[in-house]
Amino acid sequence: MSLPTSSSEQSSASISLDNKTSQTNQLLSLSDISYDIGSQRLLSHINIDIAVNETVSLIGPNGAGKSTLVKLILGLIEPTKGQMTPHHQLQLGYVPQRFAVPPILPLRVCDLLAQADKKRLTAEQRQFIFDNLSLTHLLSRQMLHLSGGETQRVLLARALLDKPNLLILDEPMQGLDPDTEVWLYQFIDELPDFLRCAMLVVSHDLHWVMKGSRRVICLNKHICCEGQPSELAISSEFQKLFGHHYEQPYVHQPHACEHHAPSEL
Amino acid sequence: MSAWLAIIAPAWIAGSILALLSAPLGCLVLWRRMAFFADALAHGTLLGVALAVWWQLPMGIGIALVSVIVVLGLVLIDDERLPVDSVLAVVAVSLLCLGLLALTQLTDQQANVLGFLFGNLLELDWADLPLIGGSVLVGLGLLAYIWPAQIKLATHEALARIQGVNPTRQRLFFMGLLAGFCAIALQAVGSLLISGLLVLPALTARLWSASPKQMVVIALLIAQLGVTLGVWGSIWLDIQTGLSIVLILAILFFVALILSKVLTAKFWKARQ
Repeated sequence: MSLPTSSSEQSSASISLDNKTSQTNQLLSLSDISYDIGSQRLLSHINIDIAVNETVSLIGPNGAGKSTLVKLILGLIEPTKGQMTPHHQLQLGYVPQRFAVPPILPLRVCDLLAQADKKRLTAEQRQFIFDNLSLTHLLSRQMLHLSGGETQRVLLARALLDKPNLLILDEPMQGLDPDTEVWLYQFIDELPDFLRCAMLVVSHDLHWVMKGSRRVICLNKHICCEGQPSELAISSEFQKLFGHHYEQPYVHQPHACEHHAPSEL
Repeated sequence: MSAWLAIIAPAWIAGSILALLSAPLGCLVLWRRMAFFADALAHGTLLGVALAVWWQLPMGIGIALVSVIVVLGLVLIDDERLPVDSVLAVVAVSLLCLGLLALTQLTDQQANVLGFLFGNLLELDWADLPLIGGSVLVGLGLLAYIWPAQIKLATHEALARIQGVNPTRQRLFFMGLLAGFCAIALQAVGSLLISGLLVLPALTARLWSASPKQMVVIALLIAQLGVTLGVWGSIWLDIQTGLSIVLILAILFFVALILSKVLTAKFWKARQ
């Protein structure tokens, strides 16, 4: 258990300097993965390699299969075809898109956080997470009574306490106000060394996705295109899916807007 | 007084031991939304008893057999057009009818039907206590073993699964534990009221608790109070123990509910 995590920490420096990843630094490979429900193909021929400590953002329109892909990687569903090969022992962290504690279960924030593995971080490291996500004053509050932003912070802490080497965030910023959003993105962009891990961020937020130098994968049942944001913006398939968004980022267009679609799988 | 105590003591002790298991199990039943399932299993115990008496087998075997049939039957009936709670209600009433029919037609237990339906703790004597105590101890051990995983599943199934919890295995463990509990509780509160004994203390405790642990502790206290008052009440009113225990628990629930509503209203008024 300790071996893969220590090796991933050592390689973190080289990764952040060099965006091109070599084979030895791979964390997880998905090769030729397809997923069907009945006769309907939700994902076809997906090939993705995620390197140790690499941040990948996953974008795509509604119904593109983003959540399905997340479930596959989490091991919650099995692919119909293809193979998923972890190159290190995976320690998964997951911040779900929706989270609601059943009201019959009285659960304080500290009770939820206690469900994480206690032995993976030192007391100071845990305190660091609590401080930086401003959780200390929330610990005795009921999960049921938290706002959306508070819930997301608690869930992020819950995932980080397991000290994952692959952290998956499924639309982590849904329903958050812009300030909180910026703050949370900054937090995951600047994780300290002891928390550094590979991240897969499912996002609708093209600003964040296109701003950084993270690899972007654009999904629409298959992988349309992938690469650095600068390369993506000129790809024709990306233009077709997101062009209107990217060129006019400040104009709100409810009829074409992906953010508030009523039903997303 | 001491003569009374000698009659009541075994029933009282057996009830208290049973409440040690019923309270935490009842909390889990609520958290995992298994109240209807527990009710179906509890109604099934009647058929189990009837079959056991008919075939001259130990009652435990009859109840276990019916529990397995219930679970297999539910897997068979599983149909996304039919809501699970109503399917369970159908199963429960079918089992109740079959159980009563079998008990009255196939066996010579007609005189004891009321006891099987509503419980008769007072029939117990000291010799029965070791078996009840032992079974409850085994039940508590199994409960402690599955507890952390069950809490995680109740909180969020996907998060629990990526931490390595196997939901199917946990569900089977839990169902087995519930079936075992029904077998022990049949004597105390009877087939019809087992789910009342399970659910009422936990439901009352929910009104006054902030964490899972608190809810279990408060449910334990309420269950003990219910059993104690219920056993005395059953002698005083000369009714089945199950009836008086569950009636007391129901009264406690409504008192706690009204109290919590009044206090909450007062709290908000004071804040304004």
